[in-house]
Amino acid sequence: MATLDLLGLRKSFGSTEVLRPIDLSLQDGEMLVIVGASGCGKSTLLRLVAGLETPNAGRVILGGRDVTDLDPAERDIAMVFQNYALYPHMSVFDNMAYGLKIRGLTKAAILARVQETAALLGLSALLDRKPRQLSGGQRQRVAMGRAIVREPKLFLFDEPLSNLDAKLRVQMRADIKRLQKRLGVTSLYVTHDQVEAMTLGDRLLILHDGQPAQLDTPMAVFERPADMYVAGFIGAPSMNFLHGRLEDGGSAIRLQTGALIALPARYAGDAVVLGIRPEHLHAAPAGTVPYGGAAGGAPGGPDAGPGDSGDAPNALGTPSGALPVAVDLVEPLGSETLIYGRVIGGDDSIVVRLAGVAAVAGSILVSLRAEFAHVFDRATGRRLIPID
Amino acid sequence: MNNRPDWLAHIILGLGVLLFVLPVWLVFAGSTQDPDAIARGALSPWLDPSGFGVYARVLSRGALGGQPVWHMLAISFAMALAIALGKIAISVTSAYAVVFFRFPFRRAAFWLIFITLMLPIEVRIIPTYAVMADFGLINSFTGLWVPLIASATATLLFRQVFTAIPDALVEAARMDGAGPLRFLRDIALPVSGANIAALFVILFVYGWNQYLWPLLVATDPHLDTIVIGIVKMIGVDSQTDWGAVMATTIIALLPPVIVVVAMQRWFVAGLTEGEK
Repeated sequence: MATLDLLGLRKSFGSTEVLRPIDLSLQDGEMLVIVGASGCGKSTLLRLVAGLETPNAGRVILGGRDVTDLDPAERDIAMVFQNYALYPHMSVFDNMAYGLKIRGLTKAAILARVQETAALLGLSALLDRKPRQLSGGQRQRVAMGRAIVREPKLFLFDEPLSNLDAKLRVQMRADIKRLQKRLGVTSLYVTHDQVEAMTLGDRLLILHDGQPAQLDTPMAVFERPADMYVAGFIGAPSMNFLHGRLEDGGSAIRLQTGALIALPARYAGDAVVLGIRPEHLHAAPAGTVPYGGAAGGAPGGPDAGPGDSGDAPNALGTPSGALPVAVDLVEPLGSETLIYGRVIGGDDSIVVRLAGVAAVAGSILVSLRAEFAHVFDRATGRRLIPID
Repeated sequence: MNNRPDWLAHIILGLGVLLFVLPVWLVFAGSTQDPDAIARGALSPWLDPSGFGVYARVLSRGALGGQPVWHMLAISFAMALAIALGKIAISVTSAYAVVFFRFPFRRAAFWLIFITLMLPIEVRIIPTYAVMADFGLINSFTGLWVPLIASATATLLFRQVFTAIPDALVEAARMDGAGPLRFLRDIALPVSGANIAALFVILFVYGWNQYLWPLLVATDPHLDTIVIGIVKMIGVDSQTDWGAVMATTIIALLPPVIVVVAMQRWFVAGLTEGEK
């Protein structure tokens, strides 16, 4: 059990900078999930902590001890590999005992610890088997056992579930979470699967092109993504991005289509992107009028809405506004229906997630819930903070 | 696909077997017959059941005043074993260094080993002899096998085998605290077991069949291998005891056959399936 601190850790291979200087602190017993697309440097970060790669700069401090210049074995760290990396010629018992044997533990101590760990993981009946006689899930558990039996200060998980089938993955995910909480060992978990990241992590670190894009709790990342990359990465299907400009003193967005959408707060900026998750869109009842100025009218011009008060854009999230969407593809999933399409009158593609079964063809009217809208600066991609 | 008659396949296979077995059978049958009859060219294809005594005779006493065959067998066996094990030891360690360590001129070292493929013992026999003479190893058992153990082929093979070991396995061992020698002993060698066995069989047969080098380096009859011994039995004059020659030939065939058969399971596994 220990805290982990990374100070200005940096790694480049030749002239390619894989990991820009990164600072990170993990509390004792915390599970931090590092998530990102392939090639974002997440595995490199893990390997730097493990000592399998040497950083170009920066320090790794584990439990207050500088381990940067130590061999992997001297760091008191255990790692679970993506392909499990079990020794194929050794029994399950020997696989788990190997590290202890090298450390010079007595036979009795090794036996006791391996048996205890095996019992914890439900491997007691399998100790004499060779890895090739095990199923994928069992191998995964042996790989976990090999890490746990060492009683390390830090666990490293390198996409440990990516070789399992979907059902097993869900089950192992829960098992890992339970185990980690029970053992209370500080852990770094690398994955490209955002569901794994959301469910496992006490905190998430989203890496993008070798630099941290956001570090926060899973819910905070989901609800307040720091930039468009994070917004698009976390959540499935991905967040929709609608391009537009701020108007009305920053309290409304004029989309490419001309539609004017009111925001619940005021933002400072010009060219922006409106982010809205597919589940925050819903089908507008037939006959709903388009959002303000949809017909290409000037800002503040006469509104198409009947009985509307002229200048004011339609309030968001009320049935009084809708975007027309040309439907491209419909994916019925049973409990929900995904609709892929394009906003009519603009270039933005859009995904709508409707509950239940929806029969859709041609085009639909979609309205969005303003309280879930995100506003990003189009030039920097950063999330804009309301100014009042 | 399967509309060809089975008997055709069997005939073809039978012919193939015949082609390989017939000469061996003739030698075996001939070994039991009267040497003078063979010398006259009257080699019968049938066994003479009364002639098996020749085997005991050559094994214990040899022929024409040469070494007894058991002694030649021992020398051959020791030489083949030393060559096979020596080649494996040298090629495993050099391949291990080339694959798992980063040192300057690693690639150059590998290519230098590789191009010695073009320098088998027959090509470098005179300089090798000179070196052995300088070391005072002419007419010694050491001189018999040492120059033969450098092996580019085996190094190349082990390089491939070691390269196929997943990086994660190497890293897992590093995390477990295994140093280079321990990794070699505990992981790399056991994982390559089937390949080592296959290579051992090939190298053993290679060592057993050596002729030119032993002929040159060891003139002392006490160091005669069985292959040399057979040749020495064939006199230039008409004195050749053909029964003894053929019996010794059959005896010489047996150890490589035994090694191949005994290690067949490993041998086939090592050649066909890559251990994961």
